[in-house]
Amino acid sequence: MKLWMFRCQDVTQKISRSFDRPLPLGHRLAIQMHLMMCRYCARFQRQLVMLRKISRIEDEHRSSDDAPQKLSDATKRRIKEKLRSIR
Amino acid sequence: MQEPSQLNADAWVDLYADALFNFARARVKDRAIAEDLVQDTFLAAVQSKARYKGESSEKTWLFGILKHKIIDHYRKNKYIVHIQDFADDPDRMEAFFNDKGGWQSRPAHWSNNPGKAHENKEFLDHFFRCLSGLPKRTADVFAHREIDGLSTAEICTLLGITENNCWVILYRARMLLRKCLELVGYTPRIKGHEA
Repeated sequence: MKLWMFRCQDVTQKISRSFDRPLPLGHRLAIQMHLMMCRYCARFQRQLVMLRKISRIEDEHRSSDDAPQKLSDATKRRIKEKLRSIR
Repeated sequence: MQEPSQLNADAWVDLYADALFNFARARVKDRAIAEDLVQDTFLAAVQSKARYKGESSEKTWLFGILKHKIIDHYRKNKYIVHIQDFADDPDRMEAFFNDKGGWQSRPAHWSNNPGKAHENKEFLDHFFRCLSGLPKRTADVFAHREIDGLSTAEICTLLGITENNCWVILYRARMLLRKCLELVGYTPRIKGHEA
């Protein structure tokens, strides 16, 4: 298939793959060309970035009136004892 | 198998239990269930300590285990979003595209601001429910890649699939997740607004 003939279906596959391994230069350029013309595939790419970011969130930012939830000391002791018991 | 020292396991609890609990508590309403998820996370961590290769930080590793536990919990309790039309038949990728390879239903503009607490909370809730609603194998591959940060080569070894198969599954997973997030109301502020 000619690089300039990439359809949205092909482009989205390649964009997805680019999140897992580097693409050949020709494909990268063809994707960039396509993205300049196609806002929907550009959205798709940004959405994959969001999916990656959201997957890796650990500490949730909370507003100041919403204090982080904590475990009680008793619960922590219980968990430590449980961990000891399985060794 | 390598045993972690008790000091190590105790230190994990002191260092990470609150952060893990805070995250779990935001995902499940019941305090006791959130506590159980955290405890199960530490139990699994101690049991699989030998598999921890130190490529990610201990904290990221523990959070990965917790997120898998949350997905299992959602799946078990059917607290999921299942987008049946697309998810059931592995060959129905074309449902997203017309026969000319153009978009059948076009991606919406997402107005999410990752810096805003309440937007993150809502987005994360939807995200976990959508992920839990995917076919198990599809969800597992996505979680190993994006949550655990494994390479596709590592996922192949772990799950006994080919790397090509892995890419195909990841493509499906991403396509289904973004569609699911749009369907469950993770909607743009202004529909059709320019991205």
